[in-house]
Amino acid sequence: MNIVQAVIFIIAGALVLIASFGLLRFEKMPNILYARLHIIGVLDSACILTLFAYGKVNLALIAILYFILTPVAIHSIAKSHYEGGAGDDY
Amino acid sequence: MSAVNVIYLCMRGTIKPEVKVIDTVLKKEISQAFLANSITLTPGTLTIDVDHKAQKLTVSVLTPRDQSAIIPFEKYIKGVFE
Repeated sequence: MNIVQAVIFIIAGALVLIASFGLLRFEKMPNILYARLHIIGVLDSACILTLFAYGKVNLALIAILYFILTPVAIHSIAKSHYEGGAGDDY
Repeated sequence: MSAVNVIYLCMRGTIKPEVKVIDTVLKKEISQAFLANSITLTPGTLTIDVDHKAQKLTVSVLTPRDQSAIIPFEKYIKGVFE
C-alpha cells in the first residue's frame, strides 16, 4: 500500500463519518426519507473511491457495477415510499 | 461528484426536503428517460416517478429551488431527440 492509497482511504473514511453524522442529525422533518436517501449518496462516493483505489481490475469492475446499481436501488426505495402512501416515519 | 454539495448542506444543517411535480415539454419516452436520469445525477435532486402521458415528473429536492434549476438539460435533450 503506497501513500496515495492511504490518503484515499482516509478521505473515504471521513466521508463515511460525515454521512453517518448527517443520517442521525435531522429529525422531525417532513419528507425526511428522501433527504436521507440523498445523504446515503455520499456513502456511494466513498465506496466507489475505495474500490478504485485498490488498483485491481476485479474491484474496478465491481465499482462500475455499484455505480450503475445504487441509483436503481435508491430510486426504487423512493418510488415505493411515494406510492405506498406511508406517512412521515421519523 | 454530487457528494460535495450534499456534504456542505449536511454540515450547515439547512435542508428542507420537498416533493415537487414539474412539467416537461418532452414527448418521447426516451427523451423523458434521459431527462429523469439527468435529474438524478444533478446534486440534491432525485427523480421519483415519470408520467409519460401527462408529461409530468415527480422530483424530490433536498433544498427548495425553482424549476429551471432542476431541469437545466431539458433544451439540450429536446435538441438531440426531438
